[in-house]
Amino acid sequence: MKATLVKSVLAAGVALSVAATGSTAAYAAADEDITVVMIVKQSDPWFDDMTLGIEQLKQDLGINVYVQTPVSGDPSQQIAIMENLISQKVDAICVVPNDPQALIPTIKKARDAGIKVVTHEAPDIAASVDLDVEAFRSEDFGKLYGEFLGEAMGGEGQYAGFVGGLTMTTHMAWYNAAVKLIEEKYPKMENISSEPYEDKNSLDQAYSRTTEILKAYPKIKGFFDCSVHGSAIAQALKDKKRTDVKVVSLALPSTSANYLKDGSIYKGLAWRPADAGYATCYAAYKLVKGEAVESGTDLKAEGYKDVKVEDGIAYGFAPLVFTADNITDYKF
Amino acid sequence: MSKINATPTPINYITGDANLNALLSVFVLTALICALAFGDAMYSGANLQSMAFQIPEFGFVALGMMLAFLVGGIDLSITANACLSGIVAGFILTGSWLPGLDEGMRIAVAVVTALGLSTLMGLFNGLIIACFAVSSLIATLGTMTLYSGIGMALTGGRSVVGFPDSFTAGGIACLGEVPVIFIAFVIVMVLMAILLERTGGGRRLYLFGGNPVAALFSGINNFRMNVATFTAIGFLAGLSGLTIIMRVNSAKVGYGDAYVFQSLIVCVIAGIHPAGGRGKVIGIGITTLLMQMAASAFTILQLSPYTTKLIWGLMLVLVLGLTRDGRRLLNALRAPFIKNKTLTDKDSNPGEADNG
Repeated sequence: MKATLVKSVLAAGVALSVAATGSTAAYAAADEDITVVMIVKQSDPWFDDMTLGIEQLKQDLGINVYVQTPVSGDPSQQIAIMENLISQKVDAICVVPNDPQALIPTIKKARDAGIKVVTHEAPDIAASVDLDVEAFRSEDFGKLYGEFLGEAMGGEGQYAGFVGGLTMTTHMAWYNAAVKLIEEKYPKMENISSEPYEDKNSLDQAYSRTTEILKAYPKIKGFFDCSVHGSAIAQALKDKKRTDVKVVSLALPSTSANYLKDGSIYKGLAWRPADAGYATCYAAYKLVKGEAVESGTDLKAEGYKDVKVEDGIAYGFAPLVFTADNITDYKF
Repeated sequence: MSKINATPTPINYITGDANLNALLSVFVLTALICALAFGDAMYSGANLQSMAFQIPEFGFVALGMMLAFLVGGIDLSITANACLSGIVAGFILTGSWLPGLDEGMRIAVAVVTALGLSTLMGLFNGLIIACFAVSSLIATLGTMTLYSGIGMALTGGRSVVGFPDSFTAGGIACLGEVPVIFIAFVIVMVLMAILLERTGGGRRLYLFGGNPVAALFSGINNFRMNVATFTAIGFLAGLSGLTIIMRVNSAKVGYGDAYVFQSLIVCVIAGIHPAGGRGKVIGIGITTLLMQMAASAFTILQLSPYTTKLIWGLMLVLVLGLTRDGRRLLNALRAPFIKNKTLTDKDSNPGEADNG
């Protein structure tokens, strides 16, 4: 009797442990076997930070997720990497395209081969991919420029807005949203031009445009820049001793930290590449597992806990506001 | 051994050339290492096919750069030329230009225009270099900026998209399992090898590249040589441009900029002498394959771009080193067997001056 009991307990124990190891093994194998690859645009501090986020995801999930970096920003390099990944039969490819249109045939090839493709910063080609993940709606982000500029200028005075180029759709969307918000919320503020100024994505251009505007509109009280060259505006203002003029700009800690610290940029706007990378790859992982990404899905990264999905684009709300106090916390 | 130059056979075509010897050794070594390390990941049908799809657009650029090297020059404008002819073809394909043509005509006109335009751009390069006797480096640096600038003005930096499916089908079409664009590339390569190595014009090109002064005094028209070479490069750039837009279904300024630098590496590894007059087409073929295999391997290994660059550098040094020492070794080995004749007679190829 006793022996039988011991035996049956033992047997049950063995059976249980077999079942337990069996199931954990099966579960672990399924996740370990998933390969998700993120192809970034190029090697720079922005994408180095994104890599940090993806390494974090690798630790959190235990899946095989890694980053591939092209040698240069040339779209042909991204296509070559993608072709190689397709023939290796990875499970999902995430990509931040240099030239979204040029990637479409290769994306199609990948999807035909059963690979999930998730993009970031490419809402224009959302119809051709499984999902596009964006840090925020352009309008929501654009409003922040208007909000902060109004706040800095006390709601009155002349201001001017910059974009990288008139053909850059995201910059234009931010600009228009900012101007619209200012018109509604700060009616005493006056835009000196009906069109945005172009800084052509260069520090030189931003600097010389600013000095020209200062000459033509000496009463100007504020600038905002949708491209990341607001530091050149701040520098021009410092050189012309016009520190009374406020600046709000898209900002990178690496180039704008000093201007934020001395107050010549009032507030900097950005989003965290690490979180964007994390959310994008997490979305790809969910798709590979056969789970849906829909409105309300939690992509686990800060700002992407409750995404809104519309027309194949998952929007988070993850703007990052830099001030003199927090700028030193970031390294990208 | 003593009949190397008399009857060229496929074997001594390669073994008679120290550069190709070294290159082939490195290639076989890489292929073996890849087989051991990656096995199926490298040699699966899918991966081989994927490599064959990727090679042509770059291969045409490398062949063009080879021609420039053969006359002791360089052509930095190849990819700018390829992009601009691609953009013009793109405008015709989408129907923005010459609307009203039916689809078949559009494709025909686009292809002819792209090749014609790229050849003209090459001719323009050649004329600048020959008429004003400027170095090709400066001339093509200028035209590179010019061609990109025209492309920017036409497109405003945006992509030209939306080609007919029957055109882009060419970029994914296969004959059996072999991509059609790869077959086209091989045909162009073979034609070029025949033209360069088996015709009088080709011989004159090597001679002109090796020693322009001597060429001049032996009655070769140097002006015509320069113009013809750069015109041919233009044509190859056009082929590259068409391959690109066929494959990526869009045309944009700046696509393939990285190919210029890569093609320089390929030419040097392939044993095309930068000072002119030496090198074979087959070298470019082998090296392009080598580069593509290495690129596949780098992706499998998940290497960072810095490591990738480092390995290219090492490979460059390795091949250059093997070439120099390999030649010395070869001479030393041959010396006992060849008593009465000088070594340089044996080792030199047509049009090649031995200074190793």
